[in-house]
Amino acid sequence: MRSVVLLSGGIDPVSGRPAPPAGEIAAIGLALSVGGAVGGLHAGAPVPALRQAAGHGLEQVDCLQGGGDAVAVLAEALFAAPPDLVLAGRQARGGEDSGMLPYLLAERLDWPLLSGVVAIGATAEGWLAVTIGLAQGARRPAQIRLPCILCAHDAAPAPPFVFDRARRAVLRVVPVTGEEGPGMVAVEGTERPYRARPRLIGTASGGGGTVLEHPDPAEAARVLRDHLRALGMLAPPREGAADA
Amino acid sequence: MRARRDPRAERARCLVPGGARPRLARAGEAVVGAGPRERAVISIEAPAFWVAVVVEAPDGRLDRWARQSVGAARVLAGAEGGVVALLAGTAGGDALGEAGADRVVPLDGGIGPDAMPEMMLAALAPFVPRHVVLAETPAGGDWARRLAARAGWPIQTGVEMLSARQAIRPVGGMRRERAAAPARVLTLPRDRVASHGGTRREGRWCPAPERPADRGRMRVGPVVTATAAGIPLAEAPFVMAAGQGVVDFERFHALSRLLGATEGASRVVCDAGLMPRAAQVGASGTVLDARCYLAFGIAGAPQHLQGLGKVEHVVAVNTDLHAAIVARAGLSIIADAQAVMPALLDLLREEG
Amino acid sequence: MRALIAGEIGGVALAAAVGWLVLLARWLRGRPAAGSWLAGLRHVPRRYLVDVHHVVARRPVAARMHALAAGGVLGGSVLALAAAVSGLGWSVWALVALAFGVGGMGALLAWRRRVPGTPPALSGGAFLWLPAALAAWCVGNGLAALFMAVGAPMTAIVGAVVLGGAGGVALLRLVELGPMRHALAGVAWLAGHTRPGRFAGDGRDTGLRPLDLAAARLGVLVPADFPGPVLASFDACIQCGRCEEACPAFAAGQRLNPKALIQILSGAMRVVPPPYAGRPAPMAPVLLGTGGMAQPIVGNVLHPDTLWACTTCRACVEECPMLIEHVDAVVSLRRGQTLMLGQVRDGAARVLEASRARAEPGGRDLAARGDALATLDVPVLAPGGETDILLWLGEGAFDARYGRTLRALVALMRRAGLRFATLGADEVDCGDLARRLGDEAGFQSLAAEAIAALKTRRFAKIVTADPHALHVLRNEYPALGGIWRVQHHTGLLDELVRDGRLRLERREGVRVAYHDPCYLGRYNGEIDAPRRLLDASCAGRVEMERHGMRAMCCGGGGGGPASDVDAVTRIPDLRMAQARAVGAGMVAVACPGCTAMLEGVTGPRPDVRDVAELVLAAVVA
Repeated sequence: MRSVVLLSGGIDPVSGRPAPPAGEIAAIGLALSVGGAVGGLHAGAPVPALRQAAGHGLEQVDCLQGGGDAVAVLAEALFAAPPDLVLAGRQARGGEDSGMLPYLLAERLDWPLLSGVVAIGATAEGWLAVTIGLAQGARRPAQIRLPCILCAHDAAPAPPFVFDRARRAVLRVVPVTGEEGPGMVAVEGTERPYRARPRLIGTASGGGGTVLEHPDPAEAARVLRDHLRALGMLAPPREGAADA
Repeated sequence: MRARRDPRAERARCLVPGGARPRLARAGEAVVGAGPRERAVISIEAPAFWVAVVVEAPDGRLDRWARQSVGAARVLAGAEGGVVALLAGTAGGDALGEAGADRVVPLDGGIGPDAMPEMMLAALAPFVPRHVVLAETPAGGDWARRLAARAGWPIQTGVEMLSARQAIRPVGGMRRERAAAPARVLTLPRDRVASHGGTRREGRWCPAPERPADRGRMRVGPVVTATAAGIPLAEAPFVMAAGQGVVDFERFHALSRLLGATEGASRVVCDAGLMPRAAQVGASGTVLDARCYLAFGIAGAPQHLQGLGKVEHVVAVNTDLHAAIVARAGLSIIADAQAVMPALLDLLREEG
Repeated sequence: MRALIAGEIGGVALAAAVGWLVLLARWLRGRPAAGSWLAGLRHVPRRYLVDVHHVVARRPVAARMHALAAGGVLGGSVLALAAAVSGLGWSVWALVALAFGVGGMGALLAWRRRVPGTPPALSGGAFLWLPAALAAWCVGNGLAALFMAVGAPMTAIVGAVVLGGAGGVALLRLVELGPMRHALAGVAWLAGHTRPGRFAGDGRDTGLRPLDLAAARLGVLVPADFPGPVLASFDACIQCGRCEEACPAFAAGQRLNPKALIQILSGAMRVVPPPYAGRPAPMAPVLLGTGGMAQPIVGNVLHPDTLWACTTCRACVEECPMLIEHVDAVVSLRRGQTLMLGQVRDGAARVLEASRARAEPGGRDLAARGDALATLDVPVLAPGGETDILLWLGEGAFDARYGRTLRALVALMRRAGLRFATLGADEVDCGDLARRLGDEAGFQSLAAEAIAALKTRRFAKIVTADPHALHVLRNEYPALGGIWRVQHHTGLLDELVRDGRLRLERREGVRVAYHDPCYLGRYNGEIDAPRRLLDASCAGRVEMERHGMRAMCCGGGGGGPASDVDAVTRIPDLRMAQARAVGAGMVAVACPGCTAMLEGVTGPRPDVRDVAELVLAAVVA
């Protein structure tokens, strides 16, 4: 079994420093759990985040350098030497961040894709058993025909970072001649620094919230219930909907 | 990512314009929408264009996020357009009309993700929608990307601000954002666009599309739901935690079952063996990713608060007005947790 | 007769020398020592007689025992050999007898240490035989000397020599079993001590040494990864248990006993280690792996929790009469686990990841560090800017509680008319946590960034309220090219009070106990300035039993809270109990870590205030 993990030149959302996204680390963990040869694949120049990602368990990362559309470049590389399994994070960080790349790749290669994978099980007759993580801890078993693309759930177990592995990892530059494909359908628009916008209900409540001093227990219970309901944490009562 | 609070800017906001006098109230909640109202029903036969929204209602109930998705479709539809909801699940047309849908097309819930884009395309074909809105849930986000990839449509994922003319979404690792005209496909995070608060819509049922042929590339089993108690603490959306102020753990457990909350605890409680070590919240225990954290009898030691890093809503019940958690909480009730727990239990049981 | 005595004592001495060479051969299989190891032998007498005995003498009973036993055995043996070889007269033999007599008294005192009951920190086993072996050697050889002096019959002399010889053989056996090994290994360790700074200048050498990140093996995985002298230091342990009595992790029931740790490391060099008869680490399952110079240590003979329980407080190092560097050993092992294997505790992995991705172990936005001071408009020094004092805020600045301390400090500095500024968002984490958790790569990367940021600004000195940052900036950055004058805020405030720029008036109130931060006290020797400040600000200052250089840790150092190994009680709870025991109504602190740990003690307890807050409360116009 040969697995390829797709890596982005991730940057950290808080610091803006290079750092692999959690989903890609989880993807490496899934690939390692399958066993066999595991390599990294990146469309672009060798950037620092790749070495950090490799520290989680990759010996080599091939960097497809030379431009062109990422989907086309990756598809060509995967088509030339098809692995059994391609793994990716839920979405890259630092570029378009749309999470579309694995889907476009699957479309291009005509491979099946499953996302939200938290665990990989056994293979049998060209089928791979996986577990998909859904909201609120729900799980769904699935089987998928190989070769395929799997997007890791952020909560899939992350393999530890080992500096020794990171420093020894080979970032191999593979020159490619870029083909300008349709690939990602670009959205035009104006780009500017991110501005955090408050969510609809008292979000990011860093303080200064409502304080209710020494109410009687019944009053406290009523306020709690209404607040939890307003937050959507508590289903509305049977009689009718009072949800926002 | 939680928005960083810039205390300098916040301080400036607390002053009345032009003056050094502080405003009286510092924070409050912008609760959008109100209780149920009697409304007329708007039906529309041939709108200028259609906007589609894919709605998930696995348990037959439209949750807040689903309503917001329909609300987003309404924003894009404006006065001229109509909203067609593709329903994956079992909600009633009434609820969807209430939420703002003019038409409802049921989707076969049992279909696997591989065939989903074909089925959505078949359902959308009669409407030729200008936009398709989906919630950025695990399933919705997946369907949206499959649809965009299959149809070759432009997509904007995780739109944080939406109007009829532009959609703004973060790019570049959430360091930058891009404003553009709304794309063909949009996905919506929770609590970004208000649900529809206007006049109720018809929610007329339309025939279901034909089920597309399965491509035989994947088999998806049944969803195994986790009980609140079974959700890993780090993934749980609603955590209810006990601190030193909790003595009666029978009541605590009963309440958590009734609220559907996953149980957590402070370090002291775990040290004392009253709750398992795995329940410990904090820098040295589990760091939560919950939407809501309900803390009973927890003062909020610094290391405990570090465990609340990403929690959106903190609710505290604590006897000490000056406890650190009160400063972090959106709602604090200064009272004995031991007295409030049974009262809340009674109240919830009364409601049934 | 002289030949018999010379043969007996000489034979035992020769066997000891051979034994030393055998040990030396094993230690030499470790990494080469920095500098010439054996050339250090010339330092041994001074280091032994001054530095070792300075520590030993803190316990007079033990010191008397050791002075008598070691002095008697060594003096008697050397003199006897000299007398036997050179054939000196009766007076010298009498002197020999006297020396052995002294040694015999030492043996008696050694016996008294474990009789009627062995104190819990002392080891039993082979140690129970030590007084008898010493007594046999001293009494036998002493009697032989006495008989020589008085010209007793040959049979008496032969009998005495046989007794002495038996004692000698027993002592040699006790070298193999451990109790007497300290004498031989101690010589090698004192000669090649890895912190020569402890024997020069102010006697403080506490900074960790940088690691060459290009080396094939980073840190320690197997015994052969330790430098030779360090291996000798493990063999030099006499199992006196002073470290174990001082260790906060041991007291809290974590899986660490510094004495057992050193014995495990000593045993790890051997396929069949001698049995250990001291207290083990609490709750630690005994690992029965086979030792050897190339066998892994952690997980094989050493429980991983032992490593992560250490708060790097140096209490054990402070107490160790053999001057063993326990913390260096722990950090070396952690470096191996972290850098080579990525085997750290989950909580530690999180802070290390945040340190890499965000240059901040808590994962917070660097721009938010100054938020606690937002209302005070403290200037931010831009690159190329100049000020008098650069205020290093540290990790505590993110904590709302410690923000109060920083605001108090800033208020005092303002009042004294000082010119100061912060680095703003250019202040990255100093790297203390990464380094103590063994992530030397993370540390060096943070340090390089911090040093670069500091080098683009001009200032006279750095002031920080965080002793961990103080230690790193003052003692560990110089090796990486960052040399500045670094001062703790208590040192600065003390200066301001002394110079009359701040006037204090004592406030009446509850009794205040000062809790020394390990990284200010033991690591930097600063224990007086905070006390002077408290004496000038508070009416009733009391001392906890453990204070100053021998204070107990709060449990917050060395990544302890991040690693969070299992414990029976919490270290800060123990420390708070010590404050209560002396009737303190308030605990004064001088470190964000101590503040957080001690404030985390639940239930009714003394208040926790930083020295700066108490000084601010006492300041008068």
